[in-house]
Parts: sequence; C-alpha cells; structure tokens
Amino acid sequence: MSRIAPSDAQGAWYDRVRVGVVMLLATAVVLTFRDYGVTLDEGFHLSYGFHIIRFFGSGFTNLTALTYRIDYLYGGGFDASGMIFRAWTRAFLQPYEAIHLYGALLGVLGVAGTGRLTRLLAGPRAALLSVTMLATTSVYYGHMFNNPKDLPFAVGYVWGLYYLFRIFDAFPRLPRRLVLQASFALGMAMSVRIGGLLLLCYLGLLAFVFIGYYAWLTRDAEATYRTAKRTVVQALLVSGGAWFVMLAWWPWAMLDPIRRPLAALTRMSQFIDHRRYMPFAGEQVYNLDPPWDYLLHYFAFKLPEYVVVVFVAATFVGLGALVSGAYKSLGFRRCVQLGVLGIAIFFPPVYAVYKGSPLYDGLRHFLFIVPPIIVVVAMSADRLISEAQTRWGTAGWVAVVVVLAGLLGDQVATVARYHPHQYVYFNRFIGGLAGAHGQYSTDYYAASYKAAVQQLPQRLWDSEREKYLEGVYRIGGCVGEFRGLRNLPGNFIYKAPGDAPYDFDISFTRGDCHLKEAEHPEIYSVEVDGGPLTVVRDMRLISLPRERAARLRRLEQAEERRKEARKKAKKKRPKPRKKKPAKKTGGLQND
Amino acid sequence: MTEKQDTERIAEARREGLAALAIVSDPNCLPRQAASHLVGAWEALRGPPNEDDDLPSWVRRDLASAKVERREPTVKFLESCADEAALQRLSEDEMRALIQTLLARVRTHERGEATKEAADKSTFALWGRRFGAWAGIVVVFALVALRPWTYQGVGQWHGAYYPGKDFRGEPDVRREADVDFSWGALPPTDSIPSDRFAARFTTCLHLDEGVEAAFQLIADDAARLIIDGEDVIDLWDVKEGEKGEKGEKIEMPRSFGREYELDAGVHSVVVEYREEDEAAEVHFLATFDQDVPPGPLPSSMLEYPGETFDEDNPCGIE
Repeated sequence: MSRIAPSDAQGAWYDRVRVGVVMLLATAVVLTFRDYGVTLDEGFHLSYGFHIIRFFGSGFTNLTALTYRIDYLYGGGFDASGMIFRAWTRAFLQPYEAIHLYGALLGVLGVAGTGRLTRLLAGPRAALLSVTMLATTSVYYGHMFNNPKDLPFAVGYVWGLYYLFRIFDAFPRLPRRLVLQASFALGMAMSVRIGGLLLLCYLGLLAFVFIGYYAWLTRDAEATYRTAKRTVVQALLVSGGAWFVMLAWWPWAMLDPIRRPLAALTRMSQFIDHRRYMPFAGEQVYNLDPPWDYLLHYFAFKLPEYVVVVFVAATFVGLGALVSGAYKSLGFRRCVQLGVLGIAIFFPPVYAVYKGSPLYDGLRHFLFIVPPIIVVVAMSADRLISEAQTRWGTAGWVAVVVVLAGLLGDQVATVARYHPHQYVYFNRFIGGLAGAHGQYSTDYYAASYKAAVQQLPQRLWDSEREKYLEGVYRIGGCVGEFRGLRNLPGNFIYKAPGDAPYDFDISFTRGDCHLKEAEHPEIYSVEVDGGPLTVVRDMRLISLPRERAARLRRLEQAEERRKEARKKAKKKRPKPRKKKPAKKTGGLQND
Repeated sequence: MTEKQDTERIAEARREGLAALAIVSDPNCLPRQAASHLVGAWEALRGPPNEDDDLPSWVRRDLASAKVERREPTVKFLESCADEAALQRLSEDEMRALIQTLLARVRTHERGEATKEAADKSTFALWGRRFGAWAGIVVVFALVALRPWTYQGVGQWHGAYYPGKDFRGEPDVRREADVDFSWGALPPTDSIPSDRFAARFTTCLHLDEGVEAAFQLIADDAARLIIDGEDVIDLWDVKEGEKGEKGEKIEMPRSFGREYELDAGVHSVVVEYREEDEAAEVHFLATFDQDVPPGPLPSSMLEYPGETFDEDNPCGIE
C-alpha cells in the first residue's frame, strides 16, 4: 500500500499550493522574527542549551547541565540544537534573535508536519486547508517565536503522530527508513518534554490493535504469533531508537537511561515548582488547584471561533458515527488512525483534569494538541466541501470555499493586528483581548516588554531633549533589569524594587502588576485589540487623588478575590488523616 | 519477434512486477509469496528462452550489463534473481530492492535501449533542478533572515585598554564594533584589572555633508569625547563619591550630551574612559537626525584607523 494515495492533477495542484503556503509562512517568519520580545523562560533555556553543549564539549567533565535549575528534568532537544544554531549564526544574530528564528522555523516545520498528517488521513485538499488554518491560528503562530518548550514539543508531537500512522499503515513490515524517521521524530519530541512518552504509548496501542485485527482476520494462532512477534519487535525497534535519540540530548538522563526519564515524568506530572494565583473567569484561582474547566475555557476562547465551532461539531459527528456504526465505511486502518488522533487530542487534557495536575499560563502546556485539533477541523472542512459539491454542484462548492476563505482571511488580519503579540490572542466569544483582560491570563510570558521599552527613548527625546542628553533615566517595576535594559540605550539604568526611587515604572498586567504604582500617571501602554499588556508610568509625577483612590479600590478588589480563592482552595483540600500512635515495641521506630 | 509482441511481453513484465510489489508491500502477505511473480516478470522480460541460456544466467547478465542498480549487484543478489527457491530465502528489503530493479528494467525496455541514456540524463536533470531550486530557496531565506550586509565585521573602533588610569603601560588592543560597555565589576580584558584602568577608543567618521549632530557620553566613572582634537564632551574630573555644585551626591553613571556641528569630510573621533573603582561602564551615542534619539554610530559611516596611527591625528587628516 502506498503511504500516500496517488495524486491526480488536482491533488498535485493542492500540494503545490500547500508548499507555497508553507513558504509564505517561512517568509513571514524571516522578515519578522526580530520583532518578538524575550519571554520569561527563554534565558534559562538558553543557558541550559549552553551547559549541555559544554557537557559534551568538555568530554563530560563540566557537569552543570546535570543540576541546572529544574531544567535538567527536560531533555535538551530544542535547547542544545538551538545552541548549535546560535553558534552558526552568531556573526549575524544576537543569541535571542537566533533562538527566535530557530524556534519559528521549527514552528514552520510543525505546520508542514500538520499538512503531512492531514494528507495521510484525508488527502491533498484537506492538507492544504490544515496548513493554512494552523499558519493563521494566532496562538500557535505567536508561540513559534519565543516559546522554548511547548512549541517545539507540539512540533515533535504532530510529526510523531504522522510517523505513527505511517507505521500503522506499514505494519508488520516497516521499511528501515521509516523506522529511522519515526525513531527520530518520536525521540525529538521526548527530548523536549518527557511527556512525549505518550507517543510510545500510542505506538503500543497501534501495535496491539494491529495484532488483534490480524488475529481476527486470520484466526490462525501460529500466523498471529509470527505476525505479533514481528510487530512487537518492530515497535520495540522504533521505541528503542526514539529512546536513544532522546538520551542523546539529555545528559542527566544518560546517567540512568531507564529510571531517570521515568522519574522526570513522575516529577513533571506533579509539577509544583510554580505556585501562584491567576485570573480565571474573573476570579483568582490557585494554580495547584485549578478548576476542572480551566483548559476548556482557554481552548474555547483562545482558538479561532470557527475552529472551536467546527471542532465541537466534528467531535459530535464522530461520536455519532461511532454509535451508529457509520465509521465502518472508512476501513479498518483509517478508523484506527482517526481513533488514535482523537485519543491524542482528548486524553492528555482529560488525564490532567482527572489527576488534578497544576495548570497555569492558559493553554500553553497543551499547545501540542492544537495541530491535531486543526487536522480534525481541516478534515471536516474538506468533507464539507465534498458534501456541498455533491449536493449543490459547483455553486455549493464555491459557496463553502468563499466562506472558508473569509474565515481564514479574518484570521490573517488577526495575526497581523496582534503582531508581535499573537500568543495573547483571545477570540470574539470572550470579546477579544479587551474582554479577556482581568478575566484570564493574557501576557503571562512578559513578551510585550520589548515593545513597551522600545518606545521610551523616542518619547523622551521628543518631549525633553535637553534633559535626555544630560541625564540618566532610572526605570523600575515588574520589567526587571534584563528585559528593561535590553532594548534601551546606555542612558537608562535599572533600579530594583526597594532600591532608590526611579523615573519610569514599566509593568505588565500579570498579577495586576501594572496597578501597583497607579497613583502615577500612565504615559503610554502597549495595547492589542483594546487590551493592555504593559503600562509605562512616569514616577516623577503624581496623578490626581481620584486615580489613586481608583487604584487602591482595584487593588483591594484583587486582594478580596485572592482571599476568596484561598478560602475555596482550603475547603477543597482534603483534611490530613490523623496518624495512629505508633505501637510501643521497644525496638527502633520508623522516621 | 514483432514489435507488438515485444510491447505485450513488457506489459506482462510490468504487471507481474507490480503484483510482486503489491505482495511485498502488503503486511498480510509473506514476502516469499512474491517470488513466483518476480520470476514471471523476468521471464516475460527475457522473451522466448534460448536453449543454452537458463533464466538465472540471463537475468544475471542483463542486470550486470545494464547496471541499473545504484550499487553493483552482489553475487548473492544476482544468483537469486530468477531462481524461485533462492528468491524465497531473500529478506523483505532484498526482495523489494529486486522488484524495484526489475521495474526499472521494465521502464528501460519500455523506453527502448536507445533512449536509456537520455532518460538517465533527464532524471539527473530533474533531480538537479529540484536540488537547485531548494538550495536557492534556502539561500534566499538565509540571506533575508541573517542580512549579512548588516554584518559589522570585527568593528571599526580601535580599542586600547591600559592597566593604569593615566594611559601608561602597554595597552591591550582589539577592534570593537561599538563603544557600548557595561563591565560591572569585571575587567575589560584578561590582562587588565577591573578597577583603575583606562581605555581609549578611536575611529574615523566619514560625512558626505555637513550635519548638526548630537553626541551623548554615559560613563561610570570618567570619560571624554574628542573630535578632531577638540574636547566636545568632558566628564573627566568628577570622581565617585564627589559632591555636585549644590552638595548633592553625584549618582553614577553620568550622562552628558551636546549638539555639535560637523562639516563634510573625515573626522577623528576619540572616546577616552577612566575607571576608578566599583562598577565600570561607558556608552557613546550619536544622532545625525534631529528627530531620532542618539544611538550607536552606524559602522557604515566609520573607518578603522589601523593598528598603528598618529595619536594626534589618527585619521591622517591634512
């Protein structure tokens, strides 16, 4: 069986346009990657990549990578390869620019992978749709540039799924090339996040289903045994290869190749190193005790409206097909592949909710299910086009395509409007970013500081030129020294909180940081779609008492919400069991 | 044999070959089941057998002469080509390779031997074009992303770092892209102390026309800007901890700026810096556009004065 159905002329045309869309996306990336700010995680990942390369470069004597913060629990698939890319481009690009370009190109690769996956499942037209849809999904597009964990993992996840489905098509005889390709894709996904082990679970599931199906077809124990043996060996080969690729980027795991990755998985699934209150549906909730519908809200409000609607409809149609038995017309292999795609989308978030895993920063930890969601939406849209063509002929086909083009055009405009803050996008269901402000986490990654800081010299030069030339300005606030001074000339210095007074407060909206100095007038803010991201205040001036009162009122309200959330969290927490007094045995007691 | 018969037997060979390929690719079939189709395909390809030429010998000779394999066929491989029993012992990958070889031979026969060379050439040209297209795309993307024309090279500033604060002793010399340093408590080079050192940065500024420029010098501790031998900005005297005119503490770093007219031509620009103790930093900014705040001097306007030069006239201005 060919892995991809032979293309007719129209199919080839769709394929060429799909390549064109990917090229267009790559062009947008190389033209704009310099515009993006540095996010909160990036500095640590840059250092981690450096330490991994030093670990190898020093002949395994520099061991910093084994203990570096909490990052040693992650593989260095992205960080270390990013370090190599930075070394190649260092004559032309600053380290952060280089890593933004590298991440974004990887994001483009993820879009291409989504196209491949869709083509495998539903043909060239659906593949074109999926590539266009994902490229214009703001939350994915925005994360491409400065998310060193979730985006690379999403790329690995979608390529991993693609190769898993190809493996399933080729079971039980996998060409060596496919084994190598799948091992690499799965291994790279796991080397970014150990959660990529899920892909190996899916592989096991696919192998199990294949063997079961073969047994049912042949009803021959000996033949089934031979096939099962071969299938399991090949699945193990792929898993072993993937494990090897993962370890190659992960110094800490190399020291105990089986136990340490599993220990990292356990630790990551109970990740409690970040503890904070965060806005959710207008309330303050604790990230270690998030409400069950936390992810549901974010997926409903952060994906484009049409994606949400079509995906929900497709889910119900899929369930209907499952109940009515209509799925049988798809054929066994396609049915299983779609089933695993559904599991790949629904299992991770449902499991996280079931386990009560800590959640924060919107949907970014579950960004990896966005490409598979887009695959489902693209397949549905493709089916819609076919149905319209069958029922209403060319007119129906054209009508659906026009509607789709309108929806995609709207998303292209959104991506442009939000530039370079696409990752904070909220859809119209919540009223855009303006509606989400204060209700949900928006610029949790602090990416908007760059845009805020870059405006300051020009504004001061325009308004107080003599003072600008002869003085040094002091900045402070939540911006921090690195993000504050990174894009400012030498006549700006940073004053840490509690240090001497400063001239300008630059604070983002996370944790109501922008309200802490609200008695001072706002001179400008970075806003997108009516929602503020970072506010710059002139600390040399005091604003009217009315504003101060309003600020205090807002702070009090925020504190009230926090207290309320704490109370709720306390109520929900199970009471500790009373320990039974230890029996006096006269011997040694346990600690 | 007529041309029609030739066409039919090649078509037959193709059918048999494709059947063999289908079997090998079908996970529900065992590879050895393809063996009879493969033999059938070779037989069809060979045509009516000669009395003194068995099928394996013919296939071996045909493959060896045609060299359609990417690699030279191994003896084991050739021996198994048309012997059904031997074929059944082949691994799946070997069987698949053999089928691909057969199909390539079928295609060659379809085109006719005379056109084989041309066909090979066209395949090569196709792959060459593809490779060329992708390489071109990568190069264009790399150029757009990296913008090598903005590369500042090793820098147009001559930086001399002195171990003492009075510019005495043997300096450490290196080229700098810009005068924009925040050393903090660290030394500027390996052989220079972190405190009580001095540095002199020299470059030649080229102006096509006269401009009203604004220069800004920010330093912790002392610095001065000298253009064409004239002190334009002087922050040389105040030390850390000294009081200002009104008795206030002078906070470091300090900034001083000045608007200054420059004629068209070459100008020597020298920034001298002195570090007393604690944190060390120096930044030199300039603008030639009244609407834009001072920033680093564009390297395209600067020229490196050379490793050695007359310190009174570094740019050799007559």
